[in-house]
Amino acid sequence: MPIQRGSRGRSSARGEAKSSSTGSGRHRRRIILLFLSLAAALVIISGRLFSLQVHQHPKLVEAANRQYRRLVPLISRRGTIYDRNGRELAVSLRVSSIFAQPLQVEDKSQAASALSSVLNLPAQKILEKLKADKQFVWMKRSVSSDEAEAVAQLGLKGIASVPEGKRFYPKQEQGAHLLGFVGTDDRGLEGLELQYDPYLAGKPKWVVRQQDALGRPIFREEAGETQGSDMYLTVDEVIQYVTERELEAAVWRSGALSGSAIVMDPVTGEILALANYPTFNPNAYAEASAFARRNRAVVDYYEPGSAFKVIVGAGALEERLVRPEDRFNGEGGTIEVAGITIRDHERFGTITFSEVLAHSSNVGAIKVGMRLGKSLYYDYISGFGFGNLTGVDLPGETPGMIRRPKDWSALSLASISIGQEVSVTPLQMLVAMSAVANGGVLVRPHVVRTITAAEGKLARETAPVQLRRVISDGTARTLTTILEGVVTEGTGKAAAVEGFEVAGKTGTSQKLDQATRRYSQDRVVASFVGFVPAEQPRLAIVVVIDEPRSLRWGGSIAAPTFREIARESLKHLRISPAARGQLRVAEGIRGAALRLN
Amino acid sequence: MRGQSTTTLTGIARAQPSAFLKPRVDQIRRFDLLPSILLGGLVLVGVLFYVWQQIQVVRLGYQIEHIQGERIALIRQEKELRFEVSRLKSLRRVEEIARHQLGFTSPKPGQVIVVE
Repeated sequence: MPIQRGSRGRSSARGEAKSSSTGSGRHRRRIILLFLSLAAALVIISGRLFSLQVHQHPKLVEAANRQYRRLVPLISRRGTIYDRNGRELAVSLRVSSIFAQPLQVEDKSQAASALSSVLNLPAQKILEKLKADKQFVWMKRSVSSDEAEAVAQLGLKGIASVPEGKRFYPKQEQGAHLLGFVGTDDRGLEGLELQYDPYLAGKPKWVVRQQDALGRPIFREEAGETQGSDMYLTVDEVIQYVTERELEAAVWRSGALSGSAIVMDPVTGEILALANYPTFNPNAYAEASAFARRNRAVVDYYEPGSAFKVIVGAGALEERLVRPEDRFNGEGGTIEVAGITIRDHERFGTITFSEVLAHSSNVGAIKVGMRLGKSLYYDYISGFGFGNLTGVDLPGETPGMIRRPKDWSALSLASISIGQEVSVTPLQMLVAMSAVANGGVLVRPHVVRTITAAEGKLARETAPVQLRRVISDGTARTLTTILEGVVTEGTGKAAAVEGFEVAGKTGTSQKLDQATRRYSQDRVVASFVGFVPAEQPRLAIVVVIDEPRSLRWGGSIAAPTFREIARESLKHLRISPAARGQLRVAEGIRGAALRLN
Repeated sequence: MRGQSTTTLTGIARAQPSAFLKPRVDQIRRFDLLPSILLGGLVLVGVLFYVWQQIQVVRLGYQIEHIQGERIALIRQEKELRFEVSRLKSLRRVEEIARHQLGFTSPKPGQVIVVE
């Protein structure tokens, strides 16, 4: 039994061993199969990983970047324009502009209708834009924050807003011709906005922004705005306002077509005010006429008339061809030149050279011009800057018109001696008078004092520039004394400012009638150009009134306007009659600081 | 006795080798796994810390972006208010109010005495 048991036990053990080896083989096969499966899976995964990470790497990186990185344009803020005392004249604010991506807009008719009520635009016009086969169209630029909010609340697919910079002029019409204006794309179109556009406009800049799957921003590399340079002008807001106010009053009082006035520091050439009337509001420049927008003080030219006698007088005095006390026969108020009779506004007997200028005698001025002669006179005219640009930093300046002596007729010398056959801009006339005021040096007028970059660095500074000496200091002083006589006893009495000596010259010139090619009897240009205080000038002022219907003389409309501008400006600058002694010292220091170009 | 006892122990060991050695082997194995477990834990903590840090960075990014948005809006508001101040200080407007609403007039030349 035990044997049997043993035998059975052995065979059983053998059977177990056999079945065990069979099971173990099956296990092994299973393990091998599993291993092979895993190995195959590993090979497939590795292959896929290799494909993703090596072959498709650049493409996938780009796709990922597209998804979570976005280039965002920074809003470019235009630099602010300030007056000489830091008062804001032009500022840029952020506004929203509404745009559409027509291909993404689902129900165009409904969207047009909804937008029409919110943006206050015709629905048909909006629908036309939405039907356009374009990726992008502007719906409305520079909308109010309420409008932008209302559009956002509509939640229309394919309609969105983008922030933009918009120019605002807080003082409205004030300094409009100086400042100019900018277009909807924030680029300067006129005035200083155009002239200094490269400085004022911020440079376009893009930043990278990280965003999540919903497009919400997570990070941006740089926030804020790109900013253009700020600009400080030589213009004084108060003097500018006074000049505009008095000019407007003069144009209305005389029923004139238009008027221009400029106030300048005759020593440095800094323009303190420049005004034209009619004017315009640069916030709504599109509504203004081209005539109202034109900077006539710099762009338009006119025949200066008797005011030009200053130039013939300066030349004759400098060449020692006349002295103030030299006497001239007034010929009873008429003189015949080349068969043409030229008349005075009143009959003069024998008068001195000083009186010729004080009372604005045409006959006397013609005789002085004849002493000077064509060539010398032309040299002085050119020397004072007529026929050339003054170099002012404003766009569109014209050089005026002066023919060369070889083109002059037999009448020209006489005509030009009384300010006819020559055209000048108001600014040229002022610069010439400033040369008399500052001791005989022609200065370059300028409007911009400094330009400061966004980081606070000084980008540009305009130093006063003396162009050339045109007459000696002695001649300038003599001429100043004579021109004081114009205001104390001559045609410019209305220009007198209480407590100050004023020097200047009136001008009333007939305008050329284009139809008849003759000088008109009705249409004149009345002007006054002068400076104050005469002994140490701080202000040189020109006032030009075009086609006044009443008060047609320079002495009756331009001279009182000069007086009002001068009086208010002197008060504002705290220059009182008693302070003039102190002024001399200050002027001496200021004059020494000038750079001779 | 000593020989007998040795034989006995050896016999026991031969008869049940695993019963005698297994606890020790397990102990050794457990001891061997400890650095791996520690290392694994450390790696896990590191990975968790990294993930937490990334989440925090993103969360802070949202906060910064939100605050920057508020800052930009405030700067914009400040500029708009400054513009409004500048507009209200327009000399034309001030003079009109002074003359027409308050009844002011300009002093005549003789009415002003400058005290030096």
